[in-house]
Amino acid sequence: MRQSYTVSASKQAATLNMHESAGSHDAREIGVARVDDIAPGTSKSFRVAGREICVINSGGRFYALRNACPHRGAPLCAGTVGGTLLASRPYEYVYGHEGSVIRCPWHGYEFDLESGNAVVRATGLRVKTYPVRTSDGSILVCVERSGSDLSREGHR
Amino acid sequence: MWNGLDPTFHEKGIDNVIPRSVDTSVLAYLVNGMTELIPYMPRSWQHRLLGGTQLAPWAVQLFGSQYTVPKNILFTAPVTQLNDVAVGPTDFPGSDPCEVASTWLDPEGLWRAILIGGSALGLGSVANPDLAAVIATAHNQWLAERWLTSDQRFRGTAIVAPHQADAAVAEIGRIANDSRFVQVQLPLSRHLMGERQFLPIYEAAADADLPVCIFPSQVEGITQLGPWFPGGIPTYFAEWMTGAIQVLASNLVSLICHGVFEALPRLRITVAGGGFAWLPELMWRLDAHWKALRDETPWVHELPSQYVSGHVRVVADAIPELEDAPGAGLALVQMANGETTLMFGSGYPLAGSTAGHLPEHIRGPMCQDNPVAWFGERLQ
Repeated sequence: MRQSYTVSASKQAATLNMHESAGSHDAREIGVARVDDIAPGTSKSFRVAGREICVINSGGRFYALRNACPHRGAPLCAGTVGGTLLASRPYEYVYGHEGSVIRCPWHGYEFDLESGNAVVRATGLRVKTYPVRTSDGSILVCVERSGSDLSREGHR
Repeated sequence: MWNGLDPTFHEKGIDNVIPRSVDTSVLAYLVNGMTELIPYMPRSWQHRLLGGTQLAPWAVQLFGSQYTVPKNILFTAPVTQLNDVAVGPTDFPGSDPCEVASTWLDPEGLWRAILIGGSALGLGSVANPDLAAVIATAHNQWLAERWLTSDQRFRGTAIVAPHQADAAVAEIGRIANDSRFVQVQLPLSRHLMGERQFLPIYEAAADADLPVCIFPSQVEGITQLGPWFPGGIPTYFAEWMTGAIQVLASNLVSLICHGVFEALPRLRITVAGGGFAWLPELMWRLDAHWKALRDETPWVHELPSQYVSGHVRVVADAIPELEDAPGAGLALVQMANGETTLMFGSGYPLAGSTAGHLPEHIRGPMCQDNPVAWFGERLQ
């Protein structure tokens, strides 16, 4: 099941024994959880350097994205991860992209977990995604030191 | 009797302003109802309908009273709706080509007028599919012979029966050879137009490069096989007249959601007889729902509203004049992408609008550019 909680950066570091690596001048990697904390098919949200970030384990692969739908700001972590129906000929249903699409819990907007682009490109919407990797059993999310994603205006 | 015309309309006429102005919606009525179509029917059907070669007087009266097919029992006050100027000495308004030409085309300075069969709009609710197909063919022959030959400014809308696709396809093939027919009308029925049984009809029309016209059937909520009236059965003609535009909206949404424009990229739809002001809100709403519900109809590949500019033209027979909000009507034109999407149509002899009332900057696109592009060489 999904959990959502907020921890301060210091508390994260204390309880999870996470580390912060240098990365580049503009970005830093922040440990948010142990790999075992987020089982396949689940997700958790974290407060990371001023951002609310949703970390998703989809079939053993981790994704990190801003926990706010760019449409109306819904918490994407409460959405469902799965596939979607591909563009098809009339009356044909073709399922695909299993495990790489998240569906917003409020209005059903779908986003590609990798790029953050809305499946309906005509919306022009994109949810901010963050590079994520695992190291020594920890999940590391890379965030910029300053960036537009720091704005509270995560949606429009 | 009020004739529905602004007394100054001659001065507002568009001659010398728009050289090739087109009225995309002029209604052509039967004089004596069904009796007028009998000569255009096969002998077998003449026998079937008349019981012999000559109509008995009572039968003439019976058929003649059905000036719409089938008869619309709400349509009992035509004197308030049909323009009395268009009537000949003995005829039903809009039933005499010469009268229509002299009372409308001449004063309005029209280059072309596209005729829509006002008496057969309800053809989709005729119970017998074979009779419906016979009426359609007879109606088109009647329109060609009585109207299209009488004035070179007239162009025709051919009607087909929606009941059986093969009969409709055959009729489209027949009329497509007559370049005076510029579009096909699919009368509305209980089935929304996106449904797949209509695809062969659309394919035939697209192959012939003829737009498909939709128009309120005049029998919404009145006949059992006609379209449902939204919400309930209207009591008064004014109720029906006002609400029938919702049926156009439903059919347009149906066409988009069924992916008909994806299946047939060359299909074009003319929406007539219900204005346009509902269009912006409808498209915004459909776009909004589709963004969230795309996976229900993944064959809709574009924003629904984008199909409208590519595949749909709407006949603006009225532009709302809102006294409390001057200019709001123009805003609606803009929201409807009017310079691309709208065409002028009067609905004559129903009390309709004149092109002279259109705002100047959209008069050219609506009266000339859009219709000329839409109907192409068949207007020449």
